[in-house]
This record gives sequence, structure tokens and C-alpha cells, in this order.
Amino acid sequence: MLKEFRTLKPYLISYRWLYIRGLSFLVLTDAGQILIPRLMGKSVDLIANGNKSGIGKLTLTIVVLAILIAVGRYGWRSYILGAARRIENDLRICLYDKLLLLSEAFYKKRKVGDLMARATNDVRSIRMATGMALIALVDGVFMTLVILTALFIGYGKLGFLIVIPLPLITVMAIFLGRLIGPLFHKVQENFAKISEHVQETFAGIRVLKSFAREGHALKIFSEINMNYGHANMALVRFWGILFPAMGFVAGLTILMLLLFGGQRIIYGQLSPGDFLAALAYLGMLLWPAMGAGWVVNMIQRGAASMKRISSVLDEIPDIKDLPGALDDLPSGSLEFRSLQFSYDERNVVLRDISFTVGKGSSMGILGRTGSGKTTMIRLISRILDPPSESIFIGGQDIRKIKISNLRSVLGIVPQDVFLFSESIKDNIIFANPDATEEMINQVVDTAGLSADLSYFPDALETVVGERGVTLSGGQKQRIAIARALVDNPEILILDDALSAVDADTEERILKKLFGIRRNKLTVMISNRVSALSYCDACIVLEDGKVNASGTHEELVAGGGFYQEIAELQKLEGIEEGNK
Amino acid sequence: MSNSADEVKYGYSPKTMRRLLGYLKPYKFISALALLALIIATGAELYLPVILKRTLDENLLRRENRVTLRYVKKAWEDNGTSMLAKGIAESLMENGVEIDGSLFVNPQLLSNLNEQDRNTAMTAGWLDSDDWYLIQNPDDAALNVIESNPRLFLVESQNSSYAMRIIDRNKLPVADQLILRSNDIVRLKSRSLQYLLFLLGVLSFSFVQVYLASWIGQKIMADIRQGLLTHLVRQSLHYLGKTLIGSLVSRIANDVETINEFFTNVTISLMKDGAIMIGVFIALFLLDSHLALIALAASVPILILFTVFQRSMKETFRQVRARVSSVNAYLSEKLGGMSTVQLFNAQSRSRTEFLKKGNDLLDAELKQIKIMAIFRPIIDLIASIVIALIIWYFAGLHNKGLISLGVLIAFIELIRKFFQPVRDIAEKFNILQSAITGGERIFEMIDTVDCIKDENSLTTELLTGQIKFENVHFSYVPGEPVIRGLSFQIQTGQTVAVVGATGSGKTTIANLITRFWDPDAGRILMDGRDIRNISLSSLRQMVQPVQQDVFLFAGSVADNINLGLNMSKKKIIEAAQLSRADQFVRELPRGYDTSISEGAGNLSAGQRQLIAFARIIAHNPRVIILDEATANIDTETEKLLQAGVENLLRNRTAIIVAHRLSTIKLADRIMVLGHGILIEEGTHEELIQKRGVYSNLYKLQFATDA
Repeated sequence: MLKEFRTLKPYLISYRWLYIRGLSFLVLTDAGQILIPRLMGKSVDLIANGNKSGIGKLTLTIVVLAILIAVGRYGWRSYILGAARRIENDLRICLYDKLLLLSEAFYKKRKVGDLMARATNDVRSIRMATGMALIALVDGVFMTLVILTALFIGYGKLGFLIVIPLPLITVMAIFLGRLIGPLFHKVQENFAKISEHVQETFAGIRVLKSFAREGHALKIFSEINMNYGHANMALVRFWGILFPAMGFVAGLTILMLLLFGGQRIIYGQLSPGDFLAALAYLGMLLWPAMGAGWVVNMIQRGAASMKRISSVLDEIPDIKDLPGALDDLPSGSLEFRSLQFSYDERNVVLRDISFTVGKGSSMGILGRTGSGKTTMIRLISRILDPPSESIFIGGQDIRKIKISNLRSVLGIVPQDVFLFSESIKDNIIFANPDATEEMINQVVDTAGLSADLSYFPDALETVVGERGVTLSGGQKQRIAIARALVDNPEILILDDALSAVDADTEERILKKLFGIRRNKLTVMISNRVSALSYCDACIVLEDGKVNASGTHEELVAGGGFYQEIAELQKLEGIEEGNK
Repeated sequence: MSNSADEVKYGYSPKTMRRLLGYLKPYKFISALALLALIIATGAELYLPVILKRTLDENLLRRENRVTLRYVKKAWEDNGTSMLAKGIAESLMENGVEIDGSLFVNPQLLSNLNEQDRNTAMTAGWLDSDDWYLIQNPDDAALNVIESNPRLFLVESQNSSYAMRIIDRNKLPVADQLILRSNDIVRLKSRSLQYLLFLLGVLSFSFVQVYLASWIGQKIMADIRQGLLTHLVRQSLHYLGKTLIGSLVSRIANDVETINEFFTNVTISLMKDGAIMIGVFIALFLLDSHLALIALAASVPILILFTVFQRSMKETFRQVRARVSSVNAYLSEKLGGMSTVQLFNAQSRSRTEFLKKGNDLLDAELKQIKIMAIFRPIIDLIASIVIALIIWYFAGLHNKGLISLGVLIAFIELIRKFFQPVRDIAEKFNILQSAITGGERIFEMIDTVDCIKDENSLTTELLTGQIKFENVHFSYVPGEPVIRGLSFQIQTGQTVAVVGATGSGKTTIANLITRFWDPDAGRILMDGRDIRNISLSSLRQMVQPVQQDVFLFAGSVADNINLGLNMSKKKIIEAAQLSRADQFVRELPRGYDTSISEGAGNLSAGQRQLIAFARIIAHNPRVIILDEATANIDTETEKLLQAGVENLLRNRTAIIVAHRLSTIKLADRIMVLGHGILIEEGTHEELIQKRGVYSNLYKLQFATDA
């Protein structure tokens, strides 16, 4: 188990002084705490013997000791808990560093929810293990050893007798813990069913409503609800007895003290002061006994979490700069040279793709869903790594270019636009935080956003997304276009970037866009032939192959898929005219 | 960046609290029982130190005071003296044991004498300064000891009472002492038994209390969940559409859970803490009022401390929570959009941002640790000071014989119990706060009502399915009309195909007839009656839409056809046969019982569509609205679908939002929609002849199909 914590070693070392100081405070505090019952016992015995003179000094000692203990507690709390929090923070950023490097392939196999759980729950349980659990461990072991020694030496056989029930608490905690485990699991399963049912009810609410079967869903829910209640109550049967039972066993130790210690008082072998001290010691032994199971559990959990986090930290980024990657910014024409690509060995997504787009010109791509268009875009930006010697910019294989340099000359508007829950402005300048007011206004205008802004409460400062206003698909796409343009990239790639925008608006945007792109390179994927007509040349992608290429006019005249689509869309044009 | 959704609201809202407590109402009786169990358990727990005290004072360290009987008698006859009130004299005579002209009494009976009184009494000679040990009804062994040491004992042989000085007793050999004290040992054992019984009492009543409280918590949670879901499924699609499913799930699942926390953990534990603290004070006062006042004085600094710290604790708790959710929100968003971050080379920028958020969180957490590292030890410090004070003050009292050792020990035990709950009171208030916040969010949802009005009870039994639109206007978003003055009529049993470009309002017609939305203006009539006058469930049983993207629930195929009606298996299979789903369903691993989530996940779009057809046929509506799938379907499935559709349309009024010529050909009539109005209408032949929009559409899209 300790093996898992090896990853923590550098952190533990870098905060070693906090830990050393904290643990010293802890041990000193414990030592002080152990003295107090002795002092109380002594006072009681003095009182019982009618000797009043020493009391003032003794009680004063208790107060001074108590103050020192308070200082000590402040010390270990702030040092050790502080160190644990710092480790948590360090781990989180370390994890994020790794996550920033990992590629699409990694995110495909790991769900965001799962990664979040690692960055939150797992990091938390490591904090618990390196903080509270460590304290409880050291505190528990130290206190138990010292107090047991004190009891055995000071009280002889009585010392043994009164602590007999204590191990029972630990055993009970562990045993009930075992029983509770599966029951707890059951509760969580039932809880998941509640979430699932609610999720499904609302996902299928249309069907439920159209068949007027809401009642049915509610009936099933009430059953699920009841089962959850039952599962909880089954857990409570054991869980609810745990703490009262621990209290009971703790009471038994006092009972032993009363019965056996009481006899010794009658025999004159035990003073009332010793009785009181023993009572106090029993109270102090209780926590370690109760907490032993918890400590073990916490450390185990910490180890399991550490393992889960290490599995991400050990991940090797599959897309990275090759040794000796070029540090120059790429520039010039974009060329595909017999590109062949497949996600797995069997299904080839793209085959033998070859074309060139020169600087200052533009290329349109038309293709059905699943024809491999988007994959192509991902390869250019090395979100997916292309095979070597297949994609070139300015004659340079993009695999030999530093990824950050490659991406800095690209401006991409992806098909599934992802905007962050920030202001529109922050989203736009995401590509270039240093963009001036003027640049922003220009791209806002080009992307046709100016009119929309007046509808938003805070114009450019309006927060969008989950925590802000909900945007229409078209608005999202246009913000993404502005984002891609704000850096004035050498190569602009539009992946079906205006699909949710109506034809008129698209027309206006494209006119402006191609105007400012005159000296740069633009690649545009679109399903609208009217949009593709802006490009200097087009290719038609079918089943991962380039099926036709040429200018818009050539392709319209050439028969085939492009022409088919063009005519179909003409019809919509007729209808538009009918308005 | 504002993150209002995660902002933790503050201030205890008594209104929300009251409303939450209102859920207890149906469980009044059980709540009372739980409360009773709580009080009994707490009472028993607090009685334990009292047993210790009594054992110590009355058995282990038993002693008697010796007073002169004559003096007491006189005091009684004189109606009390300055030192000995008549009542006390009376109780001394009643409870004391008379030996040789002296009364031996429990020192507690004289506890109201102050130091000066006692000195005067001793000087006056009616109170002996020594502690005495009383032996009553000694056994033979004890008599032997007494007889062999006659000088040490005062004897009253008639009622067999004997008394000796404790100093003398302690000088006897240990064996003799034990013989004399055999009664004490017997009583010690019975007291121990009593202690055990009280422990068992605490155990059982605590368990009963925990169990009942959990039961109530579970019931309330189920009530709130059921109520919330019932409320939500009645809301309009408009409302549900703009609310994220994730947040609906999190309200019903997670927020309700925090309310359970409120009932089972926080409320109960606060009540228990309160009961213990009050109980401790009562016990203290009963034991000794002087010492109790000292203990009570300790609550002043605690209160001051709590008021001083409460604000900063609340503030740091809030800050930590807000920053935790800010870190989590940032992380989850960036992970979701990692490819965007990477595409725009924003990794190092994002790292800096995340680092800053992490450090902000760390700062808040360290502040919280500091505050708690001061608060908690100070509470313990106060406890220790109180105990020290009590010992110190006690020493004075005890020396004067005014108080017993047992009281001190009981006090120390009780004070320890008193301070236990104080330590984590801040954390408890924090949980309370988040429960209330959860409650507020739920109530907000319950209080938002946005449903389609369903006030009329007209049923559809007599209706035939004739549909008429009268100048209907509709928009989903104000200012963006989708339907702009649409009028048409469909006769009972007729099949009408609706064609038109995307956004022309085809699907909206279905939404309006089924009343997922109500028109802004105009009327929709069913057999001449406004559909708003028909009860919603009745209307929806009569008119059923088949959507493009078929939604199948996680249950079995049969469940999905049945949808909770108690149909016979035969009827389900018949429906499936008519829709042509039967054949492939039978080939599934467990036939009709195959669960969609397990074995039937690989159903093709066409097969899912056929199951949806079976669902409709089984429910047998009079009107169906078929939104035909645009997705590509292979030729084989297409043929299957066609046969299914024919059976679906038989004997029903049907509106088909059509994309395939094969279905259009089934229609009696075709309506061409454009931008929310009817552009053309007629049979296929009529429209072709007209050479308008439809004929163009036909040539371009469908001609190759045919």
C-alpha cells in the first residue's frame, strides 16, 4: 500500500519542515494532555486528605499546561493541515499540467466526469490521508502507547481490567464497517437509479407527454424512491447502531473502573484522585480506539486515490514535438500528399488524399456526413497525428514543426463549437489575449455579430454558456468565427462553420470574410454549394477519397454529387424567393 | 467572471426553514417518538455521572457526621435555632441513626451550614469534628471484629448499630476493614449493575432515536422527490426545454439529499447537543449550585468567542465553497473543451489561470484552517480552565466538609460532556446552511409554474378526428414567428402529407395539435371543438405523434410498446406484427423481454422506428402525426417501414411530415408549407400540373426515387 504513496514523496519532502514542526507540536501537545489527569488526580487526593495548601499551585499548573496545549494544538493544526492542503493544491495543478498535454485519443477513452472525480474526490482523499488521517495515526499511536503504559504501570492489574473493552470498539468498527460496505454500495446503486430515472424521464418527456403516460413514469419513480428508502434503512440498521454501540463499550470501560476500581478504593488500594485520573485516561483512549478503523480506511482510500491519480500522471502524451522539431513559424502553401489515415487498423477513414492550396487562395470541401472531412481538419491541426510525410505547410512536414508553432498559424472553426462560460469578448480573444479593441470590433463585424450584440444584456461582456445566456447555434458559430479570425491566422479552416446560419446571413459573412482573407490561405468545409462558390477551388470527398475536384463552375457542370446537391439547393432558393 | 449558479447564498432563511419543517407534519407522531427517545437517551446519559457520584459518596467514601441528639431534639422543639432550622432538625431525627445519645447522619443533610456555623457548632460541642463510619446489622464476621476491638466502637446493640471513627477504621488490618465493609462491596456491585442498565438504556434509546430520525428523513426525502418530479413532468416542454436535464437531475437527486442531511443529521444533532447542554446544567445545579454557577460563567466567554468567530467562520466557509466550485467549474469546462484549448495554444495561459484559482482556494482554506486552529483549542482551553477553577473552589468547600468528592468527579465528567458539542458547532451550522440552500433551490423550482393549461374535462370519446386550423399564429421565441396565419382542414380518416423546407413550420404543426405548445392566436378545432377545451390527457391519447428521433426507454421492448398500460402480451405482439417489428424483435436475445439498455442497444434507426410504430398501433389513437426520419435508411428497412406505415395509417386521421416519395404517395392530399404559411395544396397530380414549388421539388428530389 505504501508503494502507492511514492508519488507523494517529493511533496512530502518539500513540506518536510511543516510536517516536522507539526508533528513535534502534536507530540508535545499529547504529552501535555497526558499530564493533566495526573494533576487533577493529585489535586483530588490533596483535597481528600484535607491538605489545601498545594491546590492553588496545582490548579495554576493545570491552567498553564492547558494554555500550552492550546498553543500546541494551534501549531499542529495549522502546520499539518496546511501542508495537506498545499499538497492537494500541488497535486491538482500537476494533474492539470498533464491533462493539458494529453491528446484527443486520451479524452476519447476517459470521460470528463471520471477525470473530474480524480481531480476532486481523489485529490481530497489524498488530502485526508496526508492531513487528518496522519494526525489521527500519530496521535492515536502515541497516546495509546503512553496512556496504556501509564495505566499498566500506575494501576497494575486494574489497568488491564479497565481497558479490556476498548479493543472491542476497534473490532466493532471494523466488523460493522465490513457489514456496512455492501449495504452502502446498495444505497449508492439505488441512488444512481434515481438519477437515471429522472434523467430518462426528462430525456423522453416528449414521448411520455404524447402518450399521456407521465403517471406511469411517476409510478415507477415512486417504486425506485421506496427502494432507495429501504436500502437506506437497511444501512441505518447497522450504521445507526455503530455510534451508540461505541458509546456503550466506552461506558463499559467506566463500568469496569467503577466495579474493580471501586473495590480497590474500599480496600484502600486506590485513592479517589487515581480513580479520577483513570476516568480521564479512559476518555482519552476512546478516540484512538474509535478512530483506528477510520484511519486505516482513510489511508487505504488515499492509496487507492493515489493510484488513480498516478495512472493519469503516468500517461504519456502521444502527440508531442519530435526531437529536433523546427522552431520556425510555418508559412506557405498547404499540401496533402497521398494521405492515408485510419483510427484503428481495419477501417480506413481517409485514403490517398492529395491536393494543394496555395498561399492567397482558398479551397472548398464538400462531402456527406462520415466522409472524413472533419478528420482531415483534425490532422492538419495535429489534434490527431497524421502519418509522416503526408501533410506539408510551405513544403515542411507538419510533424516536424513544433506543435505550438503549427497551431499559432492556424485559425480553426470546428464543427462542434465549444465556447467557454465566459464573456463573449473573452471567448473571442481566447486566440489572442492581446487583441486590441479595434481588432475585436473588426472580427465582430466580419462574423456578422454586431446586430446580435445589441440583444445581449451586456453586449460584448455578456457571459455565455452554462452560467450565462443561452446562444443559438448560429450565434455560437459566428462567435467561433470571430475567435478564429482575431489572430488573423495564416491558415483559416472553417469546418461547416455556418451550418446553423441562414443563407442570407451566410452570404454577407462570406463576402466580408473572403475579402479580408485575400492574401491568406483558407480551407472551407460546407454543405452549401452557394458557400463553396466563394472558393478558388473545391474538392468532393466521398468515402474518404477525393472524388472530384475543380472550380465551382467546373463541378456544377460536371455532373456527380456536387451538381446533385447544387440543384437540390436551388430549390430552396426558389422557395426563399417565394417568401 | 460571475458564477451566480454556484454562489452560495447566505443568511438563515427562516421561511425556507419553516417550509422544510412543514414536511414533518405527516410524521408528527413518529417525530414525537423520536424526540422522546432522544430525551430519554440524553437523560440516561447524563444520569451516568450521577451514579458515579452516588457510588463514591454513599458507598466507596461513605462517612457520617456525629451530632448530639439532645441538641437536635431541642432545636426541633424550639422550632429551630439560628443554626438548625426545624425542618433540618426533623430530617436529622428521621434519617439519622441513634447510638449512645448521638445521631449519626449523612453529611449532606448538614450541607447548608457554612464554615462559620460549623466552627460554632463544633465549639458548642453538638457537632463532632471527626468523620464516622456506621455499621448496621453486621454479620458474624463483622461482629467478631467489633468484639475484638470494643474500644473503637460506639454500640447500640438493640437495633444493632455500631459506629467508629474513620481514622480508627483505617488503622485496622486490611482484612478486618474488608469484613466491616462487606455491605459497601455488595452495594458497589448493585450500583455497577445499575450503571450497566443505564448504559443499555442509552444504547437502545439512542438506536431507536437514530432509526426513527432516519426513517422520517427517508420518508420526507421520498415525499419531496415524488412531489418535485410530479410537479416537473407537468411543466410545459417550453419550460423543460430551457432547463438543463442535468440540473433537473441534480435538484431531484442531490439537493434533496442535502435536505435529508438537514433532518437526520443536523436537526437531530443540534437538538441532541442542546438537550445535553441544558441537561448538564440541570444536573450541575442539582448537584451543587455554587459550582454550577462557575460552570455557567464559562458559557459567557464561549458565547463571546462564538459571536466573534461566527462571522469570520461563516465568511471563510462561504469563500472556500465558492472557490471550490469555481475551481471545479473551471476544470470541468476546460476538460470538456480541451481540444479548443490546445488548438488555440492556450495551455500555458490556462495553466496560469488554473494555478491562480487553485492558489486562491488554498488561501481561503488556509485562512479557514487558521480560524479553526484558534477556535477549537480555545474551546478546549476554556474547558480546562473551568475544571481547574472548579477544583480550586471545591478544595475550599471540601475542607470545610461542605461538599463530597463524588460531586467533584461527577462535575468533571459532566463538564467534559458539555464541551463535546461546542467544539464542532460551527461545522454543524455550516451543514445546516447548505441544506437550507438546497431547500431554497428546490422550492424555487416547485414555485415556478409553467404548464399548458389543463382545466377542461371534455373527453375525446365521441370525437372522430377531424382537424381544423383557423388562422393559427405561433412563435417559439417572441418576434420570430414560425406559423403565420395557417388555416386548413383535414377530414376524419384522411391522410395528409406536409412538405416544405427546413424551418417552414412542419414539425410545429404536430406540436400544436398535441398541445405541447398553444398557439399565440387563432384556434385549432377537433370535430369543431377548440382543443383547449379537451382534457390534456384525453387529447394526447387521441392524437399521437411519432418523432423523427425515436426515444426508447431503458426497459424491455415490450415495456416500450406497452408504456405502462396493462396490455396483454398478445396485444403487444399483434401491434408489433402490424408494424412489422415482430420479426426482428423475435430474433433479439430475449425476444420481447430484451432490455433496450442491454441487448437491444444495437437496433438500427429503422428498427427503432418500427418499435415506435408498434407503440402507436398498440395505443390505438384516432389521429397520428408522423414526423418521418430524414436519416438515410437502407433499402431493405425502407421496404419494411413502408409496410409498417400502411398499417399505421389505416383507419386513422394522419398528418405526415414527409421526406420520402413513397410515403407522400400514400397521402390523400399534399400541403406544401413555406415560412409558416400554406403555399400549395392538392393531390399529387394536381400539384404536378400546377408546375409550382411542389413540381420542382418532385423533379429534383423525388424523381430519381420513384
